[in-house]
Amino acid sequence: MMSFPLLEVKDISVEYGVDGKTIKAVNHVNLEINKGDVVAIVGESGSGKSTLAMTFLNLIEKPGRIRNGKVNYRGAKGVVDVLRMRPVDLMRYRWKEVSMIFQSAMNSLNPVMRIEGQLRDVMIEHGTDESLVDAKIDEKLKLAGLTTSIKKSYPHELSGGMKQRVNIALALACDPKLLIADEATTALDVVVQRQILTRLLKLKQDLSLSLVFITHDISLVANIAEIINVMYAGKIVERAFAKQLFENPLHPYTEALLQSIPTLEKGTAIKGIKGTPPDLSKEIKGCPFADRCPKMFDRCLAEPPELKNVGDNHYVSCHLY
Amino acid sequence: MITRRYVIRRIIYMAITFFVAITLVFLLPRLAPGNPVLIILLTKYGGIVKPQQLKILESELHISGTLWQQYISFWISLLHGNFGPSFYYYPQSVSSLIITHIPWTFFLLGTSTIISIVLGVAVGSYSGWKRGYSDSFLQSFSIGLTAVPYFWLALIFQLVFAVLVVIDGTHILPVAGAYGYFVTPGFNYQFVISLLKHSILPLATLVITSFPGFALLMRNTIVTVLDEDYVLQAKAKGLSLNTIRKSYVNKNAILPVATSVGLAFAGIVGGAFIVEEVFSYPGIGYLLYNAVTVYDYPLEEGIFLIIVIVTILANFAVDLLYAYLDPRVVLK
Repeated sequence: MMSFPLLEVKDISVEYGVDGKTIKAVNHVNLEINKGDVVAIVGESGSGKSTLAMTFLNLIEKPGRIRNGKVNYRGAKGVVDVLRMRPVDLMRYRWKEVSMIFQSAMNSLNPVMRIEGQLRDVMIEHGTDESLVDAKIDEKLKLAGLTTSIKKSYPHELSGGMKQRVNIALALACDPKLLIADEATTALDVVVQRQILTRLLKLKQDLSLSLVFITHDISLVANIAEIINVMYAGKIVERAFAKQLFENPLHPYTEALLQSIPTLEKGTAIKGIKGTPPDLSKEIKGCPFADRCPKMFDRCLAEPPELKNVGDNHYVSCHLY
Repeated sequence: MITRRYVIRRIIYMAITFFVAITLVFLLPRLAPGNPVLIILLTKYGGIVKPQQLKILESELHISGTLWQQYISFWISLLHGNFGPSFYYYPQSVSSLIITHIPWTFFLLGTSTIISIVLGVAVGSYSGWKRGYSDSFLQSFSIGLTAVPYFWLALIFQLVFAVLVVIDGTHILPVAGAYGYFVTPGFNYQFVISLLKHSILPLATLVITSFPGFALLMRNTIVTVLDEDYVLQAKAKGLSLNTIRKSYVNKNAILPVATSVGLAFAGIVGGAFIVEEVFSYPGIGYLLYNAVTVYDYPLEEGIFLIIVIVTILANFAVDLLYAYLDPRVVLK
């Protein structure tokens, strides 16, 4: 591809120092997000998917630290590394360029501030004209599928689904180019989940957003994501177009993950994945999935596999290919 | 949100609490062994006390008759707002005694409470925001100080400034009273200076022993709030540190502190019983201490009445304040 991607994560590693141990949450990950892409990052708890997303906003805080790598963002003034921005520039970059719907949407609203105030402060600080703010607040709430009357409410007066929508409205407050939805629908029932996802996709169409979905539920993103990244133990183990990944999963982990989805068809048994993910505070010599892999062979224990293109932009990190 | 029903119900509860507390205020002094009349006769007139004298004085002071009769006359005088004369400071009335002593308590405890809160909140916030070494140090320091009993510190100050550090026969700081013997109260330079000098040691005692409590509370709430998801989101929103601090952290962190601040202010009227006694500071605590030692029933009752009223009202005020500060609190 000739044009530079909107966001390019290069060889990023993030560690958490806890109780004298170092946990390698994200381990040399590369990722590209192009303008207009809908990208999903799928993985189980502790696979590092949220940590990876945090690096897009340079939000890693103690006890976490970014070990190495770059997060290059293509803005109006060319390509900049988000991790090496001056604090003032970082403040301007956050939310204006890349915004996020947080995992804990239930707790990510300030309990003692009206919804209106939480939209207002971010708009004002990112340079929205005072006289336009009220109209913009109404506009964003409507975009998120809310009635404008809720702006006078406090978060505790809203239902879970409404809070989630408020978070969407918040994420859109400054017209970002890229929106990260980190488990944005996890706490909601399936009906509301569907509504919210449809809403996000429609917004993507209307506002020409790029979207990143982070989820543990691969079935959720099956129909909405264009590109799916499967993460395991801090690494991306497989990346492919959604259709391709579902039809022809290459990595044994992806395969197992797909088999663990309940289907409506009769006679298909759900299979779990044996064992537990590896302890990330220990050095892993070979493939991190080797312990649990049904197709494991000698080489898997000896050397770590690299993520490589096996054709048609299908990437996999497995010694079988 | 506060409903009218809540306020009405709360007023009824307060009335019940008041009734119970006032009954205890009546009973407690009378439960203490000893006879106030005997003490008055012995201390004021000395010598041999005749039984008739005892009877006359008892009826004069409304402490003759059964407990029930006394209780009823106690309520009558209470409803008239008149406790009559003090036993010990006879013929001075209870209300005039309270009125002359309460400004000293307001001055001493008002000042020390404000200093403690400001200092505590400042130290606590700094500690909570900074974390790291200074935080660990301030925390151990505060915990150590909260363990110091204020009466002990008061006695240590007495020992140091009244006994150990005496230069050429004069004290560096006055250790007793509210102002010097030779100054005339009023708006004159000498009086103000004397007043301030006399307040240093009792103030220091109160501040040193009470600010660490506020500091620890503030520090812990700041640390908790900083870990909240809405603070992380505020950072992700690219808000300035100032906005995050003001609208996101402090607004939430102030909630638990508001309760203890409200109740601390309620404590102001009660005076600092032992600190005032140790420093012979003529406040309400000092007055109460003396009233208890000489069985001055009306004076004890009068002082306790004020403490009871202020405490009940302050609790109510704190709840209302809390509902105002935290929209999640619904009082219904």
